[in-house]
Amino acid sequence: MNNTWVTKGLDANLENFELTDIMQLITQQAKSGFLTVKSSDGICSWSFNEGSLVDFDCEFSNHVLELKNILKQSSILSDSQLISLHKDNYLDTNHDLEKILISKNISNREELERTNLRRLIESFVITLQWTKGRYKFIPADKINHHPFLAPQDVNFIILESLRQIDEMAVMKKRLQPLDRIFENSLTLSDDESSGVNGILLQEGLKDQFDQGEFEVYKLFDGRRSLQEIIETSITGQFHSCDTIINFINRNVVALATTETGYQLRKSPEPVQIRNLTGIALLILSGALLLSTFLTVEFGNGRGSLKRPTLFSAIIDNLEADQQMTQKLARELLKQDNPNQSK
Amino acid sequence: MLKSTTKRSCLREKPGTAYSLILLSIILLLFVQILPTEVRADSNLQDAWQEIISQQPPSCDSLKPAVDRFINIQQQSNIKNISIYSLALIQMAADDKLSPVVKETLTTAAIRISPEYSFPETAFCKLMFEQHRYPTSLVSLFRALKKFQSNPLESLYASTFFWLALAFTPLALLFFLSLILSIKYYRAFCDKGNLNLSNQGRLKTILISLTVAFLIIVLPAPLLGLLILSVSLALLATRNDIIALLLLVASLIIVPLAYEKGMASLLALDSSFFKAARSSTSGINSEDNEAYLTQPATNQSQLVLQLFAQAEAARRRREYAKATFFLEKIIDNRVEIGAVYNNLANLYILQGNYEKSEALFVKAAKFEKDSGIPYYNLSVTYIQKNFNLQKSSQALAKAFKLDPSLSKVQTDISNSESELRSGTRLFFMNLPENFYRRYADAQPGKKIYLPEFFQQVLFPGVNLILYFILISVSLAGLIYFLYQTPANRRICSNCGRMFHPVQKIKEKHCPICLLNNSSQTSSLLNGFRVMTNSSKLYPLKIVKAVTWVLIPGSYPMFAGYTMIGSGLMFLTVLWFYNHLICQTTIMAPFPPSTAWINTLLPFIIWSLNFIILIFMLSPKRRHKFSRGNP
Repeated sequence: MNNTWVTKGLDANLENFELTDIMQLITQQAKSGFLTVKSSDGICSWSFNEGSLVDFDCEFSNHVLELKNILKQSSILSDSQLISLHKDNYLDTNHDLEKILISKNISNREELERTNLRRLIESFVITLQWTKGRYKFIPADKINHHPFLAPQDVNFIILESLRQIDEMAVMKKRLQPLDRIFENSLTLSDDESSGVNGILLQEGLKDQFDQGEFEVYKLFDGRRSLQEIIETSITGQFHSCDTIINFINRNVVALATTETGYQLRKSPEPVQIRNLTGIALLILSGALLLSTFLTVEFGNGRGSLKRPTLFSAIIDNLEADQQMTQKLARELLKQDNPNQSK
Repeated sequence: MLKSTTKRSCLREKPGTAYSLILLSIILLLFVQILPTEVRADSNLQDAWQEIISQQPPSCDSLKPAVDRFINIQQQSNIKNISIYSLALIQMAADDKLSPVVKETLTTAAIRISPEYSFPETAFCKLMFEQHRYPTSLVSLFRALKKFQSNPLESLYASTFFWLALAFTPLALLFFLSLILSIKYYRAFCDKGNLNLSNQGRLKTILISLTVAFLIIVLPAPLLGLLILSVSLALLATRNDIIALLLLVASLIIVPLAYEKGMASLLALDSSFFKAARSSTSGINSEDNEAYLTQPATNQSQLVLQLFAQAEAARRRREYAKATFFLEKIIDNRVEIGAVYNNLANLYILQGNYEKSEALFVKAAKFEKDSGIPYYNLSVTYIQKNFNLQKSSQALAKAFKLDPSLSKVQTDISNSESELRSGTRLFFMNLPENFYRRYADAQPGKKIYLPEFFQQVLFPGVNLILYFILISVSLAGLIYFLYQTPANRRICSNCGRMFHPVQKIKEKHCPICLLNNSSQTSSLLNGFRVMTNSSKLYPLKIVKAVTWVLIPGSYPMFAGYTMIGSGLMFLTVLWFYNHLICQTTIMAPFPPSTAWINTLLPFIIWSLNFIILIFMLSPKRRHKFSRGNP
């Protein structure tokens, strides 16, 4: 990132002159140079070449936007892999890292381009919400293009970012209060989770979600608040909000209270405690079985000792009559039947 | 019964003038000389019959001409069916010593003698099945079924079978479904309790369930338990399962109505088929029987007649508790007849219950003001109860005053309507002659079968309105939970864990089970272990595995194929119902008792279940191996 502050070009406060205005100016006049904006939440720099956005570089304190962190959080790259890449290669910028990832087949071009475009839009979403800070535009003749990002139309990026900001405001209202803690409803107690390999579990879960949803799903650990999940998700604030609402509506995640959430699952006897509600269901089933047995066994009394029911009494009468008729039929078969001789 | 009594009394009251006697003699003479068809048919038939049964041992060559002659006489006499002879021929064919051909000849003859009845066809169907001539047997079964529902006498059996099946099936289906689902959702309830309930909440849940269980057992009220369990299950059930529960609970609406119809048919049977068979040795059914015994009661008098007839039948067999039961049903129906009170009081005495009988005799005397019998019986009660000679003699005096003939019958020991107990005679009464006229137009004001039904399945005092309210509340609860339930809810068929996949997946296993199933052997025991997601076989898991094999449709239910499971279970419940009703033996002569329905149907159902079980488990194994060998 170009951190050198120079006197030529534009230098203004966000309070006086909005970022979108200067961007439109750069686009309309097809300027080339670097636009850098800085506030207490972080710093971001975009490179323009004849009005098109060709590169960017950002650092935010509350949001995960750096490529390394995104790759680590999405388990594409582990810490050890990153260290070994640093040892073996000269990784001065993100561009170097991306080239190495392609050469080592850790990622591919399309995936990186997609990630970078999302990061670019996210950088706009974050910075366009800033109300305090300074920015500077430094014209330059020679601008390096990002190797894995096609030149972008600034107006499109601005419009898309503003749309996301607007819709996100509505979604955040629905998610209020954002300090609530949710956890995924696929609960695993300690004894169960010990038998499940974490990486394999993630692979299994991936079958059910798309990549973005899975990244958000992973953050529901019963400790992070919704605000933290939105900020730390690598899918961007807008998509995180959308996914969280989707998860809550579909009961993929459930609210964890302070008394019962994560802490309870870490209790020494998780299975026994859990089973109490299941036992309640079994008690009802047992009662149903027993009452049915009592009704059928004692209600449908057959014989003199038990109280007859209408059904059993009629059946007995029918049976007796049936036997009598069979007896009469048997008598017909006797050759010296007195009825016959009559 | 009522009509025969009326006829006797009419004869007694007829003036015996000489003119009328001569006229009567002429009519009788004409009747004997000109229209003696029935009488002569009787004697000719008996001769022909003697010819059939006199053959020892019977052979086909000799049987056929004899049977043909018998049937010729039957046809000449315009007699369509002679069911008692058909029954006798079927009994004759049951002799093991006879050759298969002779058996077939005899059973075929039974069919020809009673061509409109299904019981000879049923016997023929059974015979063919035993002789392994299955196509013939099956064709015969269809013929029997056709006759079974079209014959006016036997159709009552068919009607009873149908309506009681309609009452039994939804109840049994919901019962089995709820029990299976409670095993299926056990794990889900455990997990969900962990997520949403506090410590106090869990304790409250246990306490509430224990209280409800106690009430259900003590009352006992199985239907209430069934409804509570169904709605409880819907808390965490998948949409498919809730829809299945919803449909079954909705179908409970017709249960009491079907039960009412079925029991009315059952009561109307009153052995009408066998009575007709017995009373028609000449082949002509008694119209008296058919007048009121072959139809379900459509008014109060018919109902009372049927109940009274049942009570008399039970009393004659000395089954006093049952006879009492029938008479009490008449009184429950708010029909007050002196004869009923008198006979009921007698039955109480015969069971040693003198307290109740005294009041009933007084009531009987109130309604039968011209009869001395209630007072006579009352006098016996006083003697039996506490040897109160004074009261007894007063009652006896009233009895003799009203009916002087009673003073003579003390020596008439051969009276068929008396019962002896402790050396004392009790007099039973018939229904009054004007009874039918009195109640003919009165519709049954009260459903006599439903209170018993509700008492059995719910608790005493429940009426139809309360029943419908309970069903409606349950339906409302189920619809509410159906609306609340997310469409993507799944229960893992292996471990029972609840999960909510965002994408539509074909596999109905949770991610953890998919991963755990990577290295398994193919032994059956291990298969069950895999299915239950554990290295150990816990009792609940063994119960699950046994349930899948024993109860058809239970595995598809577990695996989320609710409709396949319900279909299989429906067939099983139908067979189970057929088995139960055949246990009562009243269906013994009819199609439901044939091996096709009783033996072969369960074989087909369990085979189908086994095939489905194998089919559903095999893709899972393929999946396991494929995942185990990436």
